[in-house]
This record gives sequence, structure tokens and C-alpha cells, in this order.
Amino acid sequence: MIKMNGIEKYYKNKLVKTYVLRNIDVDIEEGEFVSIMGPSGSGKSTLLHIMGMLDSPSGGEYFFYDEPVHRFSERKLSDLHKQYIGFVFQQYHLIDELTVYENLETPLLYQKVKSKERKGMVADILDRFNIVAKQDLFPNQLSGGHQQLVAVARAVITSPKLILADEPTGNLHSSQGKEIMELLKQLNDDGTTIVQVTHSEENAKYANRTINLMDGWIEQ
Amino acid sequence: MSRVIKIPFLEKSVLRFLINHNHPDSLFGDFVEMYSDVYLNNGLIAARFWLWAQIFMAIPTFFHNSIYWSFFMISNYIKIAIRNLIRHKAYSFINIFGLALGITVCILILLFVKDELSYDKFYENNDRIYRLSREWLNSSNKETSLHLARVAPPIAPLLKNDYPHLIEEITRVRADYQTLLKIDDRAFEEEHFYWADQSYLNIFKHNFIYGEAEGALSEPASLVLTRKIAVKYFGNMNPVGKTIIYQDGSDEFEFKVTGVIEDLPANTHFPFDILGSFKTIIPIFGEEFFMTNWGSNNFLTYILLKESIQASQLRNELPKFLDKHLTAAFQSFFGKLPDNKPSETNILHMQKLTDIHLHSHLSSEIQVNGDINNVYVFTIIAFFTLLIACINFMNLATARSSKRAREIGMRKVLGAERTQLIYQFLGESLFISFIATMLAIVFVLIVLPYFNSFVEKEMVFSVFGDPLIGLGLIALLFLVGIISGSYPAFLLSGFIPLKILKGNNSPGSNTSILRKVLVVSQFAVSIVLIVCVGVVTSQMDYLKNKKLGFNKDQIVILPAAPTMFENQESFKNRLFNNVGVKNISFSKLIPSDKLLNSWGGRTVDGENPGPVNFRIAVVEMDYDFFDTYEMEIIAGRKQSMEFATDSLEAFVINEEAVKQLGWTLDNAVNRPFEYGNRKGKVVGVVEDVYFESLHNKISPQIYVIQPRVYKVSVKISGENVTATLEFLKNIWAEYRRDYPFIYSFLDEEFNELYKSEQRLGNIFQYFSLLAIIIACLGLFGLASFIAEQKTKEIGIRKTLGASVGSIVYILSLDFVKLVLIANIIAWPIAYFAMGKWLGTFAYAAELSVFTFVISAVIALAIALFTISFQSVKAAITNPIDSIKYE
Repeated sequence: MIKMNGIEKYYKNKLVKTYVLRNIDVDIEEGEFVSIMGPSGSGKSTLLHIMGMLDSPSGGEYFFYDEPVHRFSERKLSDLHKQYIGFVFQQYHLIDELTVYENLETPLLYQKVKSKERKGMVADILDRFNIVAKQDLFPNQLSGGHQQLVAVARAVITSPKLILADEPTGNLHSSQGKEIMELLKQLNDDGTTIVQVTHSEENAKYANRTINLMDGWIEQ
Repeated sequence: MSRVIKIPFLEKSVLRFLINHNHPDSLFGDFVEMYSDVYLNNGLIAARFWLWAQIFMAIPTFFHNSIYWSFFMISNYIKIAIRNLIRHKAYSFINIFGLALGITVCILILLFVKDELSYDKFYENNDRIYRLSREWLNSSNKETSLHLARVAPPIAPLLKNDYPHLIEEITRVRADYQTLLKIDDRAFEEEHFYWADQSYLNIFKHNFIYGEAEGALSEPASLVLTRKIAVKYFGNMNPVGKTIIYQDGSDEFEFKVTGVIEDLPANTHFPFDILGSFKTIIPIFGEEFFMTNWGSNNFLTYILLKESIQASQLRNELPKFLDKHLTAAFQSFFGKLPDNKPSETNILHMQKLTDIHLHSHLSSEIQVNGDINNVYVFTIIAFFTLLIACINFMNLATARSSKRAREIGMRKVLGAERTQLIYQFLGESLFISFIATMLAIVFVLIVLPYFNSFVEKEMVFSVFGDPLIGLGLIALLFLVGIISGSYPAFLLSGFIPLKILKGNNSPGSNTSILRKVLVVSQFAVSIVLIVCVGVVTSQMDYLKNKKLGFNKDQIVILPAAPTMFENQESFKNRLFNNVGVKNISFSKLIPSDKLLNSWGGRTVDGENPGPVNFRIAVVEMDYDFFDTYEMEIIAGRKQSMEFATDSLEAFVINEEAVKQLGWTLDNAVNRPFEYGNRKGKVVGVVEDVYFESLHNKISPQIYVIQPRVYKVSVKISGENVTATLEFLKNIWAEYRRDYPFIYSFLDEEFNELYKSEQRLGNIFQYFSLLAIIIACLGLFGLASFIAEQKTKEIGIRKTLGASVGSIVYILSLDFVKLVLIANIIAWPIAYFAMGKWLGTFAYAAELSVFTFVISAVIALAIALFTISFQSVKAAITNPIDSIKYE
């Protein structure tokens, strides 16, 4: 599903190139659950963002379902991303002005899913995540755990093939964190590919495999 | 497995455009397969037919979808906009209220401008109607000596006679003065009574309620009334055929009402109430007067050109016309040919009817006209006020952008395209603009009556009744929405989601330069307006307080009556019986009047005796004029009853006349001089006084004695004014029976001269006040955001021991700098604009540095006051709270 060859990422100042990622080769098969670990500043989030097409690499090749992502236009990237990928962030990033229901609905709006279908999908996901009672609340009326729950639900609603989670439990109590991790595991069992960035050894264990990053290099 | 056939390029692009699906590629793949099937089974033509059929079938769905989605997304955007507005109440208030004020000002001014531009456009054929005006040049230097809006009576019939192929109709109109009309035992003095030819009604089409236009003014002693006059005299009955008495002194004439027309709209340069048939006055002056008198330029003359005739065709003929007839007139009067062509010093102009109100500022206009420059100035003010309000919106939106950045970033992650975000923000600003416009409509409806009485208009604001206003409002709404929304929309939608989501850096901070530019321009506009207010005010003070050379205080102006002339001395003595009366003078003109008349002077001695080649204006008066007005004779003496010949042979001229004649004070006195048909000598020189408005330079003047003139100036004492006026009222009731008692004070007449400037000053005051309020709203909002952004910095500084004062200083310093820069930009603009305005006065106050400095101080004080709320609040917050908050 994901095939990266020699991906690198650097920022240029006047004279100095600061490398964030160097010569990254990654292969991820459909259905895998992968953890990316490493100390702060090792480039894990950048790698995740490049995978999610939110950021572009400075060099190297990236094939997504054998399509050469590194050669795609902005527009095409956005389409690909919309269609296949869901994102979960450490800070949840729900839209404050929208209710739970509307937050869940937003990605469907951007994909132009018809009204009837959309309602069904939102109702479905509310049910699945057991948050029907919360559908009319605004994010600031929810606990952190519930906010992240909604964020995961929002990432999942479009049935993406790949979920990218950037320290999904970083802001949560351990019990809430565990719930979220169980949820991700469940999704993985149902066939969704999951890549997560994490600091926690314990969370990393949910994955089948761990990629360790250090100063932009993959540690073998 | 069947072969895959490629869909041709054209069809492919059309389909791509029409397909609106969440998985376009897979759908397209289906298309290719089906196309290939049809192609392989039925051939190319059938396949392409099939393809086009698909395309046509897709079209309705395409439209349905795009309407559905745009509608859905708009309602979605509005929902978010409303929640945002409610959540940030102060911000919303500043935005909406500021915009509403700006739009209100804009609507009011545009109504004013629309009204000014609409003058006389309601007349049919207004593009073919012209008014004649007559200009005289000094033969010495070809400068204009006089330009009148009215011309001599022979011009109309002669023109019509000479150019029947160009002129369809031509009419003369003469104003009547001190008109007294009676019906039964009720008497009314009418101010707007004019004598007009029948052809007037052919040129200006009026709607007749009773009677008909044809023949309404063709017989002597006919009257056409406007509706309000008809109601005043006859109630609601049909008055056609009824009689009205016209009173002239002790004589009475019977007039017949021949028609009633609708009241004239307010937007005409010629608002009359009653028209009397011109034929009535022909026997009074004599037929000959109307055909030969080229000196009595009291006749408004309007021309209706034939269709398809260009104005220039007639205009080019006018010099020839004047040469022909003036030469003939000169010859029959003086018995010889004139020295020069009359057209060298005499010009006839044609003014387009619809241009008169805004472009014509001649002597002897019917009323004070508007001014195209005011229209420009007001339009500019409207534009800038609106701009200030829009700038507020942009400023606050960009300042707030860091708060919204996360939402934008997340939307992008969720699949929003940039255009969708742009639509969202434009939608929001349009929505706010919509609310503001609605609010502004309410404001305008509330304020319009006051504004109307202020500008002396009767403007109506009907949103639905007038398509121009309705469409104008929609245009305004979109203009405001798009101007104010465009910057935030493009700025915010351009954010790269990753950067926002990743870190705490606020993308709003790099827009601070632009924000500074916007604040500076806002304040520059405000400061220009403040300076204008200052300059206009100081000029008004100057006009009111300038020493005019005579005493204008405590002088009552009254109309004279023929009965007063019968024994002037005994009349005056009766007045002097009252202790309140200090002096009395009869004169044709009073100071503040325009010096329109001149008889033509002629020097008798000196190097080259002959006609004076510049205009000397005449003031006709009695022996007490100089005493009543306390005008100083600086050489020789004033005319006196002690010298019997003075009544016809004594001239007093002013210093300017002495100067232009090339004389001196010493040698002017007792010099022989001729003026009009009077031959005599100069007995004295009067000090130059500002007889006319200060717009005009002091002109050469000559004062002559004339016994029967129609204005009475009574100098009264400052005590017991009411009693003195009561006394005058009784005397006047005796001499002018039936007329209402009308009087005015001379200083009021002078104020009247500067009414339009006064009004301009007041409008500047109000609008600059509004502009400043709007700018302050914006500044307040901006200050609060900056204080909020700097909360952490302030907290840290305070934990390090900074005092409240020093923090207020830090927060205010930036703004103070901006206001100072704004001053530097504003001053030259204001200096230039006000210099030009003062240039319209012959005598003007100096532009003082003081005005500019004061304006700067005011602007600074207002700015500091506005931000002080926020900066002090931020400075006294407990530092622990603010640090923890971050």
C-alpha cells in the first residue's frame, strides 16, 4: 500500500540545510498496524504527514497503491487524500463552532455525499462509537477522551483505507487512552491500515510492527 | 476480455466536468468500459451517439447537484457565521455596528447625490431645453464684469424670428415682486409668482389637474396655479374660471384661473407657485419696451430646440445674432455705429436645463443652486467612510485569524479545497454585510427626516419602491461584503494546514504590517476630516466676524410701499417719534445684495475722456444711507439735501472706483463725471466696504440719489427691540395694508449668504464624527486582540517587575506611532483640499498651523483614549492568570 524509497525532508536556511528525514525506506502492506517511535525531533510526525500527503518530501519516491504520489499535482493529492486517508491528532482538532454531529458530517460534505446517505452514515458512526447522546453537544462540552473519540469517528466516517494517528492518546488519561487504542485495534482488525506515532511503549505494542526513528534516520 | 477503447478528448473533458461524484475515477472507469462495449458491438458512430446521450442525460443532474450543493453549503456557512457572531459578541458588535454606520453614511450621501443629480430630469424633452444667460466683458481686459442668468426681453422673439428652423419654442419668464393676491376678504403675499408666455407650457410639460395646457396662458389676466395654491385659495373644488384679485398699490385687477397643475417636485431649479400670463404685463411696460430694451436683463429665457438639432448649431449663431441686433439697437439709440463689435463684450450662453442646478452659479439665479464640487466631495466622503468600515472588518478578521487558523487547517485535512474555504469566508462577510445593511436601512429610516431638514430636501428612501435604490443597496451589500471579506478569505484559505496544526505559531502575526497600513490609512482619513472641520469652522468665523466697513448690527430690513414715498420726510419723522428708531434709509439694494446694476460711466476731463471701460456698480439710495450704515466718507462729502442739485448731479464713489479710474483721493472730489444719463460731479469718496458676499472682490461702486426705491433699512437701538418691532409693525400695517408684516435683520441676511458653506461645515462635522467613531471601533477591537496576543508577554514582564504604567506605555506606543504617521500623510492632503476650498472666497482666513496641530492632538487623544481601556485592563490582570492561560 505504501512504498517509500529514499524519502528525505529538509528545510533550507540561507546557507544551511536542516535535515528532518534522511533516506527513509518504508513499506507498509494493507491491513498492517504500524507504530512509529522515536524521541522528540526525530522526524516521526513529519514522516506521518508526508504519508498523509499533508506535507511533501524534499526528495525520494513515494508510491501509494503503486501511484507515484511525489509526482502528483496538489489537486490530485487532495483527491487521493480525501478518498483514502483519515487523520487523528493529539489535540483532537475538532471544529469548535460545530456540534459533534456537524463535525462528523463535515468530511462527508467535502466529499459531496448526498443528504440521505450522509445522515445514514453519521447515524451509523454515532451508534458504533456509542456517542448518540452527545451528537448535539459542542466540543468544549465534552471530556478529552470523548473529544478524541469524536475525532476518531470523524476520521473513520469516510471509511478510509488508511488511518494516520499522531500521538492520539498524548493528551488523555491512561484509561481514556486505552479505550482509544482498543478502538484503533478494533478498526485494524476490521481491515483498516493504521499508522500511529507514539511516545509510549505500551501503545506501541498494539501495533504489529514498530519503526524507530532517530535524528531522521530509521534505526534498524 | 474485451478491448478498452479510449473516450475521445472532447467528450472526456465534458464528462469530467459534469461528473460530480465522490469516486470520480471509478465511475469514469465504468464509463470507459461501457463505451468500449458499445463501440465494439455497434461501431464508432453509435458509440459516440451513446456518449452524447449520456452527456445530455447528465446535464439535469449536474444542475440539480450544483444548485443543491451551493445552497447547502451556503446555509452551512451561514450557520457557522451565526455561531461565530454569537460566540464573539464584542467582535461581532464592532464589525456589524461599524459597517452599519459606514453604510448608513453611504446611503444618506448617495441619496443626496442622487437627488442633486436628478434636478429637472423629470421634464419631458429635458435634453432639448436650454436657458440663455448673458455675460458682459470689460472692454479693457476682457475679464467678466457680470454674468446674469436672465437676459433682455427682445432676445426671445428675435431669436425665434431669426432661427425658426432651429428653435421649436422659446419663452420669457419674469419674476413678480411683492405679489399680493386677494380672494373675498383674504389676502396672501405670494413669493413665487412669475409671468410666463403660453409657450412656457409647451416647453415644460406639466400635468394639468384642472383645465388644460393649451391656451392656459394665451390671454391676458390668466393664472395657472399649482395644486397647493389652488387648495389654499379654493379648497378642493375645481377653481377653473374663478376670479382672483391682483392688488397693485391701491389698484385691483381681476384675474381668471385657467388651470391647476401638480405641485412641482423639489428637484427643480425653478420652483414656482403661480404663473400669470405674460400678455398681462405687455401693456404695462409697453410693446416697444419688450422689443427694444436691451438693458433690462430680468427675463429668464428658455429654448426648446427642434428635434435632431444640436445645441452647437444655435450656439454658433449667437455672436452673429448679437452683432446684428445690438448694432441696430445702438444705432437707433445713439444715431451712430458702435466703435466695436458688440459680440466682443457681450456673450450669450446656452445652458442645458439639467446642468443648471449643479453647474450654474451666475448672478441673478432663481435660487441658490447646488454645486457639483459638493457632489464630488460628498461622494468621496461616502467612499472613505465605507472604506474605513471595511478596513475595520479586514483588520479584525486578520487579527483574529490565528484563532480561526485551526479550524481552517482541520477543514483542509478533512478535504476542503481552497476555493471552498474562500467561499466560506466570503459567505461569512457577505452575511455580516447583509446584517449591517439591514441595520443601516433602519438607521437611515430613523435619521432621514433630520437629514432632510438639515440639507433642506425632501428625499424619500423606499427600498422596494425605487428599483435604483433597491439595486443600489444590493450592489452596496456585495461591494462591502466582498471588499471586506476578500482579504481575510484569501489570506486564511492560503494557510498551510500542517503548520497550523503542528505548532503554536499564529499565522496572523505576519500580517501586522498590513494591519498597520490599514490603521494608518483609517486615521489619515479621519485626520483629513478633522482638519477640514477646523478650517471650515475658522472660515465661517472669519466670514461672520470680518469688519465689513459698515455696521450691520441692529438694522431691520423692511419693504417700502408707494404710499411712503408720497411724503418721505413726514414718514421718517413719524418713525423717529419712537425712541427705539435711530435712523432710516431707503435704498434699492442693501449690503448683502448682489450689485447687479450698472448704468455705464463716462469721464469728462483727464487724458482720454470717454466711456469708462470697466463696470461701476450702482447703489440707488436716499440721503441717509451712509449715516444709517455708518459708512465713512474719506474724502469730500456725502450727498446732502442742502444742495438742490445733489439729487441728480452728485456722485459718491468708492475707493476702488477711484483707484481703477486712475484718480487719487485728493483729485477725485469735484471732478466732473457722467453716469447713465446723469451729468454731474463726484462730491465724495466712501471707504471700501464689503457690500457683497466675501466670495466677491470689492467692486468699483457709485452711490446715487433715487427717491422711489423699495427697501427700507431702519437702524434701531439695542434696547426694547420687541417694542420697537411692534411699533414698526403698526406703522407698516398702515402704509402697506393687506400685506403681512415681513422684516429681517441685516446680520441674518449676511448669514444667509454663507448658508451653503455653513451647511457644508456642518455636514463635515457630522460625517467626520461618524468616520472617527467607526475608526475608533476598529482601533478598540484591534487593541483588544493585540492585548490578548501579548497576554503572555505582559504576564512575564509583570512577574519580572514591570509597573502597570510601563505596560500601558508598551501597548500604546505602537498605536501612537501609527497615528503620528497618519498625520504626516493627512496634512498635505488636507492642506491642498482646504487651500482649494478657501480659494473660492475672495477673502479668506489663513490656513493656520494651529488647526493642523490641534487636529493631530485630537486624533491622538481619541486613539489613546480608545486603546487605554484594553491596555489598562491587560496591564492590571494578575500575571499568574495570564501565564497559566497560555
